[in-house]
Amino acid sequence: MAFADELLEQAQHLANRERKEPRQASLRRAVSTAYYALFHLLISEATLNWKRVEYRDVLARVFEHGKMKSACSKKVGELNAYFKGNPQAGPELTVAQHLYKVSKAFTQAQEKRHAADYDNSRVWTRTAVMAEIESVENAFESWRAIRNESVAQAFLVSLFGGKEPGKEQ
Amino acid sequence: MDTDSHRSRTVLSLCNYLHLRFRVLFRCNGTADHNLSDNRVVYIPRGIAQRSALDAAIHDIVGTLGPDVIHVRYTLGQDWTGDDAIFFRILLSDRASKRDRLLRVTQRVSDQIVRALEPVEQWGLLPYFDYRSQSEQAALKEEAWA
Repeated sequence: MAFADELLEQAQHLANRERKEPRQASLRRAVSTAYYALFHLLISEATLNWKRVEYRDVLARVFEHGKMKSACSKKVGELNAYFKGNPQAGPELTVAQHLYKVSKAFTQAQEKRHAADYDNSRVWTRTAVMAEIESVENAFESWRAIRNESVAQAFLVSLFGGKEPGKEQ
Repeated sequence: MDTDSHRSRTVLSLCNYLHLRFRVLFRCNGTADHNLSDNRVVYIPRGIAQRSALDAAIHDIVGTLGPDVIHVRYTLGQDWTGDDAIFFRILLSDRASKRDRLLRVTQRVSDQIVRALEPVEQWGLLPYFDYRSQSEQAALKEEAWA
């Protein structure tokens, strides 16, 4: 099992660890772990494109949370504008919908991870945590449906924080 | 009195100027530029400058969300990277919070709010969504969610 999948499974485990009254520690770690599952999925997919296997882990360290969030929120904005134009049903729209789910899940998960790790005043509930984990799971499925598409690969490059290939900025 | 009136007019003019400037920035970029780190423009999102208009827009949308949503609360603030944001707290019915419906309901609700409100494009606020079931809130009695 890939590391990202292991993290997602662990997030599920933590969220359901206590059957009746979930501990805040379990819920917080579940939220944080779900975010890192998606984070590692995307960076591992990006670094797979690096031909020299021995440098992929080094390349993975180049990714920054803030830059990835900016790229994802920008992508959500672009795709919202695209959907607003009522595009015709077809493969292009399907890919866009999947990419939207991935980008949206990432921005939401990252903010929640920050709150889960640092904001002690916040009370977490199982519903909030399960909604987060399911959104990340859904993003995993969406990503796997489009990972070989050119727009998906361009999206991965944008996560470095620079220009997305093929985009005027 | 005159001084107060003059001050109010000045503040209003400044807000209008910033609002216009803000809209121009949007038109230039297509989406909100959240990385304005220079000192030339004081960036005030429309959602903060025109809070009552934002409240009215959200009120209209909440009415369309259906019986899965008991109510919606929200707070304006900044996310961890310092971007202006709106944090929605959405109280779901217990039925909508069940495992077999949760993903479908939360995605529908957040998408419906984003498409109707256009929080980034129209109000300069990144939206974040948090959910809780009615029975969880009944047990916690948290004021922010009441």
